[in-house]
Amino acid sequence: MLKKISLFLILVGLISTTNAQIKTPQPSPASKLEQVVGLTNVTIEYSRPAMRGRTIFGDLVPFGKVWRTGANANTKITFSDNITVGGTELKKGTYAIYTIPNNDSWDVIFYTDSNNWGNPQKWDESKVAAKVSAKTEEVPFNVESFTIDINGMSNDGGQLEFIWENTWVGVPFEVPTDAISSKSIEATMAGPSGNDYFQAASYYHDAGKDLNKALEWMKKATAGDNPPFWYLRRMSLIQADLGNVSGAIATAKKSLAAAEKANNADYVKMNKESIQKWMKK
Amino acid sequence: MKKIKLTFVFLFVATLMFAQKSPRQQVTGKVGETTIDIDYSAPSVKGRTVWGGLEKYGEVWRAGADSNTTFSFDKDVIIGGATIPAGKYGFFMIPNEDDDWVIILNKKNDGWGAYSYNQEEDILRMIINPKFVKENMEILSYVVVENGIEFGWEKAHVFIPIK
Repeated sequence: MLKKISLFLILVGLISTTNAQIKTPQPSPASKLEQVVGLTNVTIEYSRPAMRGRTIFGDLVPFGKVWRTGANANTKITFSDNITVGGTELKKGTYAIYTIPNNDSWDVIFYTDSNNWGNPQKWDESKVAAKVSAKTEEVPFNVESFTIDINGMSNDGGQLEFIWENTWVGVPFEVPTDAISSKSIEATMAGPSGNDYFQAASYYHDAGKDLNKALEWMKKATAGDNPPFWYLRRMSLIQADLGNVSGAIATAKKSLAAAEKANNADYVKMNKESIQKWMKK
Repeated sequence: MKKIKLTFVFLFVATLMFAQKSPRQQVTGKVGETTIDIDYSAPSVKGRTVWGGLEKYGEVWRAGADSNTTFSFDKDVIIGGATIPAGKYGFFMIPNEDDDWVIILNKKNDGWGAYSYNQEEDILRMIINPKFVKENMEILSYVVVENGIEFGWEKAHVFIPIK
């Protein structure tokens, strides 16, 4: 028995030793690039292989075939907003970048599945979110390590660049800076709408904050001709919690009438129950 | 004989209850001089996860149940800076996770759900900022208020400003 246990312990010891991490430099070190373009965050994660005296394009990376565009796991790009590339809208999120290099142009592919080691085992055309063709340019010297970069930034876009050996490829993309700015400007300048007040008052009420403030906001939210019955319902609950029972009943009656008009059985029932309860006070 | 009668009453009630799973609703109201009619079916939450569950994020939704929701305007209106000619439109929404939602007015106003929805027939697509509250609203509802349309379901509330 003892022998068995010691054998087991030795075995465990051996396994742990062989599993210990040995740190050596990676031949294609990992790189992470974060770049703000306009108001959009762009992040690129990839591994950077080196030339090490080899011929790259047309040899190590053959022409006309899908390339993982880096080394090791697939190269990833993440956008914090919807962007446009080559006239195609890419929804915000993470994509794998694949390329098909050729002598005078590359196809650059944004692929929705970004969890592959290298190329996907089975290429799925329905996962191609965008495919852009870009002309190659010659660099007058050799770039040793494969490089992805973002360059030429303006408020509205930038250029995704691939550089290795003596080849340069650039893919312009557009970010929605103007749309984001105009929207937030418009929303701010228009002032709070009824549902802004409703949301703020509901939050104050639920969190047990200043109820007088909450009521003031609900009065603004319900100032129009025909306020939603759910606004009135919330206002009556706030009034009741403030101790204003007659006000709460009056508001609940308005909510009840509006809910009946809208055929909302749930709010009809809740209002009736509250009115009954408050009448007893 | 009494038994048969009772059975009939029971069947009738059952049919009614079944038919009212998502009852069809009509609401009407005025924004300025314009009369707005909304026709929709009102589903209930029934303890389900609505946003991202029953209604998928990022997909065009009929913004109700059964056949598509419709908005009718008897005069031209302005929504999100765009002039919408008087008429009856299909109304759709795209709920998104932690992001703005999209509302859509589409020429086709007699589709079943969003199955026959065709983006090329859009009259308007507009970004909307939904508000969420803690309180659950069991039955989906629309109300025409003096400056637009209010929508509420589960914990989400959407306001569509109309001029």
